[in-house]
Amino acid sequence: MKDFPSFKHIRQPLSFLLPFCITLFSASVLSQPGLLAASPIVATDQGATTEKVNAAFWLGKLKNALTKTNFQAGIVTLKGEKTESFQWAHGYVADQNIEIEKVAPLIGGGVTTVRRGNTVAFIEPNKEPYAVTSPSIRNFIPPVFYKDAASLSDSYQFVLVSKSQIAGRSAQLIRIESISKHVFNYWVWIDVISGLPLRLAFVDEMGEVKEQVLMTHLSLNNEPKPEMLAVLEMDLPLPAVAEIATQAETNNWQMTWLPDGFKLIKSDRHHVSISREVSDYYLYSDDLVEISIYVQRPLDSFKSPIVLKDGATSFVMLRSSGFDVTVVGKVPAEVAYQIATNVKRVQPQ
Amino acid sequence: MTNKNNESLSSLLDDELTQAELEAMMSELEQDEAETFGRYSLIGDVLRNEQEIVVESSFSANIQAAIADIELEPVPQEQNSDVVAITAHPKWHQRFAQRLTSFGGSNTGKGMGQLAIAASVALVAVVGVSNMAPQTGDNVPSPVISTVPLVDGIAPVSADGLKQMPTADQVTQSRINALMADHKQQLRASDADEEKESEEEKEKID
Repeated sequence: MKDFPSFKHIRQPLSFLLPFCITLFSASVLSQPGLLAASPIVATDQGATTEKVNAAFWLGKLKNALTKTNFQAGIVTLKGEKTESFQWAHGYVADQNIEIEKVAPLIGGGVTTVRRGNTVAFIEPNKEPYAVTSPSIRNFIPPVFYKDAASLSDSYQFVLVSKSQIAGRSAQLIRIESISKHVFNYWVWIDVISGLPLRLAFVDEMGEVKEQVLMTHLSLNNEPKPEMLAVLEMDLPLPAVAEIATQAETNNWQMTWLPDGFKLIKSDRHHVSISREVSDYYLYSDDLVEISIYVQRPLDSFKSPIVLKDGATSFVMLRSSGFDVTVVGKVPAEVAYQIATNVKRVQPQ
Repeated sequence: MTNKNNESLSSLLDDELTQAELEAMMSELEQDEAETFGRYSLIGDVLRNEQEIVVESSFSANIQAAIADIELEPVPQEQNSDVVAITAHPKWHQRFAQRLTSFGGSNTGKGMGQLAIAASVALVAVVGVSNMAPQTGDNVPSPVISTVPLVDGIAPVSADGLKQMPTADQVTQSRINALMADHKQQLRASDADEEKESEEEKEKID
């Protein structure tokens, strides 16, 4: 079934033929003598490649919808027992090639996020608004879907599942599965007509949904709404300089174990926001999720270890060789714990 | 006098005696039993709401006579008497209430009174908190390793190989909050870094 799952959902022959042909073509190119042995492993690889091409088609459609269409949607996020609801509007001004986007909490009082091009401003009551440079609002959609999601690291594989109905719309489910099973799987239901995500979920190995995002309603427009065009004229704060009190890279610590596919994005020593505590900091990412690792001076009162969970986000703090190591990220708590226990001090030369 | 007789007296008052029993009992009545009879009928009348209780004035007179001989030690009247001095007085609570009332009447007193109320509320709150000690032992159904109050909506969770039950004090909690906030900030900043890099790359290509 894994070899040609695409047969099951050819409901839009024209749009579907293209990636399928590419698949056949790439498969034939790949048919080197060595690979022709037709062992089961090769077949699986081929299947995965097919899936990847098919997934690339859908994820491309998703990216296009996220960045080039005009829509208004209602969003509900379910994290553990916590529910949040948002209004989400997006506009694309074609003649200026600029995107405008707004995410506002349905129930007032929270942070309203406004994006114009690559400037993302956070506006909160009774607080000074501020902005960062980013191509997406990091709220309920992982940033990778604004980039080339099909090129996710090899630690994931794509599985296309037959279409289903969400909110009365036909949706194509793409399961982005962790091959090593160390991190959560990510399931995306893409609206067949608009290409927008109707549902997104972090799912654990047992198939249990840890955290999910649901679209409750969707209205599509040909042109940006006037209130969205107003964002073009809005006075947004200038993006802050990226460096937040950082110092040169730190290499005092070595991560002796990380789940497959995680690469170092940055490392520094900085003052943690709010508490101003100094911390050695490492940010790792596998493109879909990020892990922050903090190494700090030990707290006298802290009784190691602490393991906390919020939806898919895990927080592990433990004492290791005289320092407090903290791991935060959307990975299973067991994995975060394992990462934390494997942070070793680099012995000075 | 036996209880048996009293029982027949009681029955008599409740109209539960036959004529023969009544006559037999009446003939046996002696002086003290007649007094008992009087008391019982009074009790019955009171229970049936048929009697106004007449309190003899001699009762209160007796009490007054009994306490007349008790001398109260005189307490020196000090202007700056503190609470301790006030409590030394037998009627200290009255005097204290008086002082509190007059104090509350003054301008500074009004504020202080509110402060006192706030302080007592705080005390109650503190007592309340200390009564809500985390559950331990058998009451916890699963191997929950932390009963830490929820921080930023983070719920305690179990993990294999962790058996301790740490309680995060405020210092630890504020660190947890700070790290969660910092994690979010770092993610936002990481996008910015990436954008800058890609822009630099573009410039190089140009």
